[in-house]
Amino acid sequence: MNNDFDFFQYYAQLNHEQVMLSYKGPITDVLLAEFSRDIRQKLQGDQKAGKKVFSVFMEMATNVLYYSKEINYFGSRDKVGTIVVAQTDKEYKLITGNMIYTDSAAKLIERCQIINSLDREGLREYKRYLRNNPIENEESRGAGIGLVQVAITADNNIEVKIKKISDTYSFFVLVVNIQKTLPNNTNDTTQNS
Amino acid sequence: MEDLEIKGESGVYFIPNVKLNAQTGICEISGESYLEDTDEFYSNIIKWIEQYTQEVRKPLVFNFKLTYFNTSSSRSILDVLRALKKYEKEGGQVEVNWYYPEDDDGIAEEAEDYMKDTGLDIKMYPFEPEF
Repeated sequence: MNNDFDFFQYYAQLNHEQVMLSYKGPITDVLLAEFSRDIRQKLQGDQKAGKKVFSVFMEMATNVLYYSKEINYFGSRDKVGTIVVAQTDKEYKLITGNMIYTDSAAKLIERCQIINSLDREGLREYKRYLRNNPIENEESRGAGIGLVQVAITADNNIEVKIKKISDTYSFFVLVVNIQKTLPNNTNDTTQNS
Repeated sequence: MEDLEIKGESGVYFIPNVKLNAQTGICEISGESYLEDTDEFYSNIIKWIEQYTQEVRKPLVFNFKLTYFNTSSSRSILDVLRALKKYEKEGGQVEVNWYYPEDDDGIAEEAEDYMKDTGLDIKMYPFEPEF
């Protein structure tokens, strides 16, 4: 959560990993649906982890769609953001980046720290609390239950990085890793008797 | 009273299959739920339940068989379950069955959390989803 974080350097480093999806630009619901189908198709070989990746992807991508403060004034004023899905040998890596109001940064970091301090049971309690309590304002909606759900589904800590661009805008990066399913219980059906 | 049926589809959004039967009281919500206007979609279901509990007042069986739903839908599903709990409190007979994909711990846990939130006795059954 340091302020010197260089997203673009980070983005460039991704070339070392196997990128499954990488997009920077205007985000629409139609585009998101296309991406989600693409991801599902690519993850068919790892059904269990694949479902988690899909579910986390949807939450992260809709957060960008709803809350990005960067707007493309060409055409239908779409929200702008970055979405990356990559994989290493052991895990899938989901990254989103978008502009937020600098005013929201402290709250987001606080939420992230709370989330990472909780175990699975604690996260479920926290999610229930957020779900049962009325939303104070629209702005915090995505930063609340969505982030908690992401941590529960991913079964992992979430990583939030925020770089202040100006007094008004900051760049918000969310990184979530999901373990691949280890092929331990698969029987070799091709074996002859 | 009329049935409420919505045919599920997977396009830009994922609309679940909804079959609410006013004659038998057997209802099912299945498939995937990620909607453009989640509140509006589920408020129609809640309105149907409220009408049923006022006009029909027979037992209600609600079968959930969802393979994916986003957090926005999870909030609305809680509202549906609250409407069912309300009917139960008023003396209605309510049965809730929660079918979860056998490889999906998250969807199974949702039912446990819903039980805590509503006080409903939700029966849980694993199932093998078709792909």
